[in-house]
This record gives sequence, C-alpha cells and structure tokens, in this order.
Amino acid sequence: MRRVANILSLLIAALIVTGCASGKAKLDPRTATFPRERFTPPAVMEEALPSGVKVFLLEDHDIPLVRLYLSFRGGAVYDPPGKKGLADVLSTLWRTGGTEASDPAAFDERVDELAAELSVGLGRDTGFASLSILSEDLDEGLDLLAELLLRPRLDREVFEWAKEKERASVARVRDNPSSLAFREFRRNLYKGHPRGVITTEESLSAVTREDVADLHRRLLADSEWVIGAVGDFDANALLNSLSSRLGALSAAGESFKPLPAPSTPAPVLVLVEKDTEQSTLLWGALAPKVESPERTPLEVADQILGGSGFQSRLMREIRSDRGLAYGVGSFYSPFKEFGVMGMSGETGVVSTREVWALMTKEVEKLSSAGVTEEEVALVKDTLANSYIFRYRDPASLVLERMGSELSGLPQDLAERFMRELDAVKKDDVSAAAKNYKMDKGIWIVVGKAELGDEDWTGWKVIRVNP
Amino acid sequence: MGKVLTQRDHEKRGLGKVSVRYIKSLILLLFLLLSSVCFANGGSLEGRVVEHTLKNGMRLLLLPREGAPVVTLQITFKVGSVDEVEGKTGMAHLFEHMLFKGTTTLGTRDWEAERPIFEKIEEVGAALDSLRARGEGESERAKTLAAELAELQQSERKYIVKDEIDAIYSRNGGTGFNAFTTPDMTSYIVSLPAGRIELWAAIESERMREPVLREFYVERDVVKEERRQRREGEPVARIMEELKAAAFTTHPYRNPVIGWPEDLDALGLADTRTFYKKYYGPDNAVVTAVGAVDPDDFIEVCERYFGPIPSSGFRRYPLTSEPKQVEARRVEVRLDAEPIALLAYHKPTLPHRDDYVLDVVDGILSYGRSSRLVRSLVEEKRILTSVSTQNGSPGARYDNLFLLYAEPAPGVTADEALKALREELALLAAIPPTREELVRVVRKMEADMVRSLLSDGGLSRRLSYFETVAGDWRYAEEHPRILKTVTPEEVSAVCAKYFTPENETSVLLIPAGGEG
Repeated sequence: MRRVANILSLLIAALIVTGCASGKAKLDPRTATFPRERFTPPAVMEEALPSGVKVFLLEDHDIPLVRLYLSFRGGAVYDPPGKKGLADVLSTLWRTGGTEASDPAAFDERVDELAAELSVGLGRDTGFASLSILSEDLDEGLDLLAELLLRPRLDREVFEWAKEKERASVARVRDNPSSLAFREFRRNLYKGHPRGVITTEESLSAVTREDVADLHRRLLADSEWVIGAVGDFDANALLNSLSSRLGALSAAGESFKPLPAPSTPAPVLVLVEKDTEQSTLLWGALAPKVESPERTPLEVADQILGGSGFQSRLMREIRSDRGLAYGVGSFYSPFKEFGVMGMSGETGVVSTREVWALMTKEVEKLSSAGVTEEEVALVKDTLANSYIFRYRDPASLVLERMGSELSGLPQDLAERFMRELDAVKKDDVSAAAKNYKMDKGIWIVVGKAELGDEDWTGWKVIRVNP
Repeated sequence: MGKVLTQRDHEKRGLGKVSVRYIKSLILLLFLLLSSVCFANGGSLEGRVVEHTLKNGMRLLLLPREGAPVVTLQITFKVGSVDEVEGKTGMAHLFEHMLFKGTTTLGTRDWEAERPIFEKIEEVGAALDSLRARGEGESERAKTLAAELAELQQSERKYIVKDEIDAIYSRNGGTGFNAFTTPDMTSYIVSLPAGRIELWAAIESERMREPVLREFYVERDVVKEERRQRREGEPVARIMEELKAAAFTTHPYRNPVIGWPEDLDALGLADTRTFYKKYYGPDNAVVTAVGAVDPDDFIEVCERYFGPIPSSGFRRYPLTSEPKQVEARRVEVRLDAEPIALLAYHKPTLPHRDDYVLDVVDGILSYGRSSRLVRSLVEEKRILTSVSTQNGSPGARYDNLFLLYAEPAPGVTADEALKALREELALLAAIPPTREELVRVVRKMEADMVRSLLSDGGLSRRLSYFETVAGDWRYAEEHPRILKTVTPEEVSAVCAKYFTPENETSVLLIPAGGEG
C-alpha cells in the first residue's frame, strides 16, 4: 500500500513538473491579443480571348482538379411581359435537353462517365455555367461544356417537361414559408418594375419553345460573358483551348443592359395567409448602392442590427434574452444600381405581435440613437481579422473579379471596402443608420389568417392567399 | 505513400522514452517531405494526417495544408440523440446549445456573485416544471413561481456577459463558430486565423471542464422555437419524424434529435448536468485541425490545455436492438402541402459488407443525371420532378435505413410515386446492373473524394465523422477500394435481400383534401 502511495506521489510530482515544464502560463481569452495574420494572395491573371471576353485565371496545382466558371448578363428580370418564367424554363431545358450531337440520356452519360460536374442556369440579372473536372480529363470536359453552351438541343419534347417541372417548383414555394415571404417581398418592394413580376400559371403557359431558342441565341450573340478558371492547368494552354472552343461567346452585347433602379414603394404590410403554427416576419426597404459613400458605414450598421449573429441586437433581444425565436437577423445587399436592406425572423403564432414590435423598436432605435463605440469596434475587428478567409479557397478571388467585371464595378472592390472600414467612425455609422426608416419599407408576414383580423400594426394591411 | 509515424506509433513501439523534442522533429521532417507532394493520389489523406492521443484519451487528428494562414478546428463527442434515455429526448441537442452559455470565467462578470441567483433559478425552475408536469401550469402557485423565475432571471442578467465566447471568437476573426448534433455525435466547430490556436484551446478546454448552464430556461424555449421552425419550414422535416418513429419501434433512432415536445418541457438542469458528466470527458472526444497547423505546436498546446482534464472512464453499454420487422408499415400524413413519398428499408450499418454494396446501390439509383431513378422516373416516365436516395439514415453507429425520397410530378399521387420507386428496386434486384454502371458510380465517388479536398471544413468533418462513427478515420480511405470489389450480381442479391415488402416502411404526404 505504502509502495502504491509512493508511486502515486511520484506520479503526481511528475505531472506537476510536466505541467510546469513548458514554463508557459495559460492565456486569458478575454484579454489575449494577437498580431493580425498577413498573407500575400496568389495573383489572379487577367487575360482576354480574341473575341474580347475577359478571362481570370489562377493556377493551383495542389489538387488534380480544374474548376471553370462562366458568367453572363441575362436572367429572369429580362423576361418579356406576360412570359415570366422564360429564363427559368431555359435554365432547366438547357442542361437537360441534350445537345445537337447527343440526345439527353447520351449526353448525361458522357458527363457522368467523366465524373464531371456540369451546370448552366440563369438567375435574376446574370447567368452562370460551371465545370468541375479532374485535370486529366480537362479536354473532354471542355468539349462537353462548349457543346452544351453553344449547341444545346433544347429538345422540343423535353421542353414541355421543363415547363411542367417549373410549374411544380412554383407550387412548392407555398410549402416553404421563407421562400414564400421573399417571393412576396420582391413582388411588393419592386412593384411596377420588372424585378417585381412573379411567375404564374398563365405566364408560364405563354412561353413557347421558340421563345426559349431565341433567348439562348441572344445570350450567346448579344450578351456579355466573362470566364474564370482555378486549378491544375497550364494557363496558356487553357486560354488556347477556350479560344478555339468558346470563341463565339459575345464580349459586349447590348441585349441585357442593367435596368434602372426601382423606386420606393408605398408602405404596406402584406399578410400572406398560411395555416401554420409559426409566423415569418420580413421587413425590408431600398438602400444605398455599392458605390455610395454610405455603403461601408451601413454594412457596419447592418452587422450591429442583425448581420453578425449572436453579437447583433436583434439576436440578443429576441432570441438570447427572451427565447422568442430561433432564427432572426438582418441583411444588406448593395448592387451596382441600388441596394436592399431588411430583417427577418420566425416565431410562434402567439408571439408574433411581440416579435414584430421588438423588430420595429430595434430599427427605430438604431435609426434615432445610432450605435456605440464598442459595437463599431467589435464589427471592425471581426471583419478585419476574418478577411484572411477570403483567400482560403482561391476560387473566391476569381469569382470576385468576375462579378465586378460583369457588374461594371471596380476590380479592387474588396480592398477598397477594407480601407474604408478601417477609417469608419462611430458617427459615420450612426449617420448611415438613418437610412433605416420603417415607413420607407414594407412588411411581409406569412402566417395564420387571423393575424390580420384587427389592426395591431398601424400599417395598411393587404391580404394575399397564395 | 507511406504512413507518417506519429507519437502514438512511437509509444506503441516502446519508443516512448525518446525525448519529445526528437520525436517532434522527426514528425516535422516527415511532414516537410510530404508537404511538397501534392494530393495526386486521388482524394486520399493517407500519409498526411498526424495522429496523437493525450494520456486522458483525447484523440487529435491534424491535417496540415498549405495556403492562407487559417485553420478549421473541430471537437466531436461520441454522443448524440441515440444515447438519450426514454423521456429525456432532446438532451444531447439542448446541451449543445447550453455549451455556448459560458463557463465560470467566460460569460460572467463575477461568478461567485452570480452563483446564488443561478442556484435559486434552478430550484424555482424545477418546482415550476414539476407543477406543469402535473397539469397545474395555470395554478396560482405556478404563476407565482413563474413571476419569481422571471425576476431571478432579470437579476442574474446584470452578471451575465452575453454570448461572450462568440464575441471573443468574432473579434479574433473566427468564422463558422457553430455546433451540430446528430443521432450519432455532437460537434463544435470554428475556423480561426492560424495564430490563434491557443485562444481556441483556452476557450474549448474551459468549456469542456467547467461549463455553466446559465440561461437554461430561456434556451429551452429557443429550442422549442427551433423545432417549430424546422417542422413548419419544410414539410419533409415533419414526415421524416413520422418515418423514423414508424420504422423503429424500439431502437432510439426512432426519436427526433431535437426531442419530443413533452420531453423538452421536462428537461431539467440536474438531468443536463448528469448528461454532461457522463459524455463530455476527453476520452469520448476527437479533435481535428485542418489548415495552417504545425503538428508540434498543436500537440504541445493541446497537452497543456486539455491534458489536465481527467478521463470520465465511462463505459458504453449495448442498446436494445430493433426487432426484425415482419410486415410492411405505412403512414399517411395529410397536410396543406404538395405531395411527397418516402420509402425506407432496414439494413446493417458499416462495416458490414452489405453496407458497402448499398453505397453502390445508392449511386446507381440516384447519383448523377444518368442514374436510374433520375433517368427513368424523372426524365423518361416523368412521374417525379425530384428524387434522391440515402444509404444510412438516420445514423451509422447502429443498423439503419436505406431511404428513398420522391416529389411526384403535378397530377401524380404519392402512392403512384411509391409504386414507381418499388418497381425500380425490383428491377435492380432481378437484373444485375452493367459493369459500366458500376464503374461510373465508383469513378464519381472517387472524384468526389478529390473535390472534398477543396474545403478544410469538409475534410475536418470527414476525419471526425469516421473517427467517431467507424472508430477510425481511415475507413473513408479504404472505402473506394472496397467499392471497386462489388460485383453486379452482389448488387442484385443485396437488393433482393433488403428491398422486400415486409422490411418496408412508407410515409406519404397527401395534400389535405386530396387522394393518396
């Protein structure tokens, strides 16, 4: 027994010695400071095809994979009046309708045999295509990509099925309160503007196969394309391959020029009736555009309001202090011509009014009383210290450059933002926060019909039964 | 490519007395030699992962990578909803939330001053819960207690530094600070600029050693909100709950990770503390670090911060296994939503050979646009607009389910969708697939392994998942090699064995007022 005790005490002594051996004290997480990480990112090569199409390239030979991205102007906001849904139908048909050389099944087999990922589709303002392929199969992959982009079959027979799929996806929006809320948000915020038009049964029925083929032709010949490539390739060889295969893509077309900015809508609360146990609340308004001097301070204000998770005011007031919601937050998306800002959250039916009032109060408080030094310092530290993450996947550097090129924005947008952030002061943020004006925006509430029975909001209420 | 010798290997070989410094330089040397080699060997991590086990049993897996100076750090505990006892479902997930509330030094201005209020909150909260459990939630006594609880919570607030751990990580540039709970495991993740690894170790070792479960009752309400948001947000969440409860009658895979509502109402602080003590020891944890990490330094930091935490020494006992299903089960859910069809079959989990074969079946059925269900049911027969399959739901520590999910096309009922799915399964059971089909599936899975190298987070999840669930991260490395040995005849035989009427559970979401 004694022997055991001796061994034990020796062990304990050894442990203590080991514990001190490094001589290092434990740090206090609250007060510890660290130097900011520095990193010189790899340089993105900027080239152009003979057609003028810009190409951004970044060689990275660590992983035997090539990722190719194509972005072009054109999308749902350009759908002709009465034919909303055209761009979405083309998106589906383009990828699933085969090519001139291969019927749909044969084409898909060729893609899967190469273990490639190949996609093409249109969003709201721009379209996007991508290829991810093992570098040993790059040439075959480029052949498939070029065939799909330039010579799709847009099969007549598959066309009807593509429309049917689109019908189904429009119907399923009803099942997801958040998608439904954002659809109604766009419809009402952009009322009278092409951005506010939504797809209906009638508009979808009016889309013909000729419309789709014509849109495809215009996208190739009269849009603006940019290309990006990241991965295990030789830049010169790839540029040659792209020139020979994708030389037909237009560099400076006229068909899809940016639309004018939308105008401020009349204040309204749209109650989207849905028989559900929770309410989805969404408020939003038009906001300063990317190149506005208010952009950077407003980004900081948005982080403070609800953009920075647990450190934000909405999260603290509604979730952390009161347990009234799981997800609540804010957003600010600045674009070239305009911006959008807002906030959203979900809560139980019984707490709808309370959460609605808390959200309103936080926006009003931010707008009238501004922000504190501590809040601004936290946001600045957070954004500056996490900036290094944009270099982790080199693809993000290429995609950023492509985005700026296509929107006509400066190529050093991210660096500018960081410089402005560094200089931003509490008073700038408080001044920019005055952009938050409840009555310049609109409310969307998805929830039970009874919620609209009495005027508890003080807003003009419109009911929608989706 | 050879395996890196790790400190653990040295210890096994009786080299434990070699000076630590020497071993570390050896590791470093090997690492430098290897780091000049690119990931040419498919998506394999063999020879790139440095392993180490602390004396208290905590496992460390490090994957150093070149590039920007950032690192993804993950701690995974082998505890999930499957480990919960009946009546206390939701505990693993609620505790995951609670670990964000701080410790005796983080999240508080003065723990000694806060403590008496904290203890009183527990007393009043427990009394209120027991009244509510007896159906006396509306009584005068309950109202008094509720008011008292609210007052105590208000007075505790002056000591609370809100979400301080999150704030520290945020201002240090941390991203993706989060956690997740599954039936099998619970994981805590953050990505940081590389120079802040010691900050992570200081915070995480303290969370592990002395968490304070403050703001418990408010957080329990947040979890109820989360449950509602998930159920109301996606109809499939609701019918998946039905599916698990129907397919498993006994095994805890039947319970939702977030817990049954009545259980959530009754989860108390004492239960939560017991749960923590049992499962959150270092001997039940795996740490992964992927990115700009120096193995030498990392191991030293972990020894210093996590090393002093004692092992829990707990033993895991076998769970009641699910009795063999003997007849088909069918559940119909009527909702104001578009139809959905779910189909599930019981099958063994890894490393059973049939589990590998079913991974191939999964690929043949729904992986890629040329897979059978997409080609046949979506593009040719046009019965479905969307289809997917999953081998291994809801977890993989125990025998589980092969799952099929389908969204019927407009005008097609959920029943018709089920019928079409069953026909495809019968076809695969009757006629072996072609060699080309098998080759295509395996090649796609291999390419995915290569793509997974693009993301530190993805690699970290891969390492921690297989280390936790399969007991060895190398399971994922061996996997493609074994898939290549699967034959067409084996595929059909396995389909015939498991895809039988008596082994089937189906759940149909039928639009309210519509027909199945």
